[in-house]
Amino acid sequence: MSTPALEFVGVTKLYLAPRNRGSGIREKVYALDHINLTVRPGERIGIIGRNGAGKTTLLRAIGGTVNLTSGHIRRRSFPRIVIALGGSFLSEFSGHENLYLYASLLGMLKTEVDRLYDWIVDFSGLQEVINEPMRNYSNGMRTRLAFAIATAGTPDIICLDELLSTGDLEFQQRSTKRLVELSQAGTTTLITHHDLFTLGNYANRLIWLENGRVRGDGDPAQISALYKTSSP
Amino acid sequence: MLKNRLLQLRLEQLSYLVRRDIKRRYKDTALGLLWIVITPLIQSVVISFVFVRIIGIQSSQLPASLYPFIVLSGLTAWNYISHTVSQAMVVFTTNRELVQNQPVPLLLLPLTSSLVKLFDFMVETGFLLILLVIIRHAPGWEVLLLIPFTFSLFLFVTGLSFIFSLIYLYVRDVGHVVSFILSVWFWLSPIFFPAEIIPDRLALFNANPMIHILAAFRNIMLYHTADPLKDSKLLALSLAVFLLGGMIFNRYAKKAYDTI
Repeated sequence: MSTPALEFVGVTKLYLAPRNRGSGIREKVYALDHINLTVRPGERIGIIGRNGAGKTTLLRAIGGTVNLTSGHIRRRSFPRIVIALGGSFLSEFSGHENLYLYASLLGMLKTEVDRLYDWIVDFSGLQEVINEPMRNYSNGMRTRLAFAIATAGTPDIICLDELLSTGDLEFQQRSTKRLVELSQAGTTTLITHHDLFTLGNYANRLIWLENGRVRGDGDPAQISALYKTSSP
Repeated sequence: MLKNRLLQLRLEQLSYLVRRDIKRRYKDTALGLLWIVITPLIQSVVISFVFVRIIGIQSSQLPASLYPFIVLSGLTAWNYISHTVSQAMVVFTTNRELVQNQPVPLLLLPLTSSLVKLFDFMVETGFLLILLVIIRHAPGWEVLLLIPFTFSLFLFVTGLSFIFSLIYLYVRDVGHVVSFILSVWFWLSPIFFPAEIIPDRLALFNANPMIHILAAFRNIMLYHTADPLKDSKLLALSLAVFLLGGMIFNRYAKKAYDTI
């Protein structure tokens, strides 16, 4: 049996949040509540849950940018975590400069980016403007570039936060197709989304989070049905 | 293999972040990097005029014509320390997006800030050397001592930035306290005046590390002398500050994610 891509052991994140707005009284809020999960290589995992369920915190925890209260996560390799697609882009820099900076922040070496550069520019469709300052880019252009960087090559593990519905319809179809290609090449993907239909079409395993806990985990059709019937 | 890759990645990330911050400041400005030297140059001329012509302060070791260089060398070293400490305190909040969303070690951010200011220090020092060559007062072989001196200063400043970047996250009042401390430290340090005019009875001044930093810098640049014992002490002090800063950072950095 192969080494798990990710293993969550009792992963817990507890916050102290104000009980009411302006209130000095604080109460315990579990962003992640004793999560135990094993993610096998090549799985396409969809993470569903309402606002505040802990989806983004879970992805951040995989990246190590959450100070866990208890528990730990074993990672087989350095995961690419994409939250707020292209959030680290700088408007005053060109697409070319941002490409190298963002790819590095996602964990890619310069030699790897050199090798993948043409593919990234082609996939994003920005050949004509890649040397222009990014302030001249539309939101769609930024999204395309960021997605192309994030999915370039064959990353071992990739985590995307609410990104399947970015860009126009044509780009959404291309990006979903690209993620399926990556999965077929062995990449493990974890994708959070609020739309069951989009996730159900893509994922081969669905995890349902509620108040930081795993409420359901398994076949997408079965978990979708349970999620739909649960009270909001 | 994996460790080598990770080390290479961290070095590349550091390099990208440093270049990003340097370029960002001067991109789209007409004078670009010249801004690094314009401000201290004008300050030195004005301050020298006030101190020499109006107040009448003289250096016992250097002619009055070199007084602007006493000020410029003082400002060059001081700016590196004060600008880095001030920048270190806001380094996490100004990079909040990056800290929250990218798995980049927190240590890279104060280190980036220190390296960006080190670049400024090197540009200012280079400019000072050019001016000294023009007026035929350039150091000889002593110029080589700039390498260990700059290394010492980098360790000292980086250690301080590790500490202050973290403290500010926990106690925001520190921002105001540090501004106050920096202004007091500034006036208690021989930045605008030569150290030799400090009376011997004020031996307590020697507890101020800035006196030793400025003395080492001016020994190289202006007095063209070397004091290996004092330079070694400065290196030891800087190394201690760097290690202390690194230990504190390593101990408390992870909790920073809760407050950013």
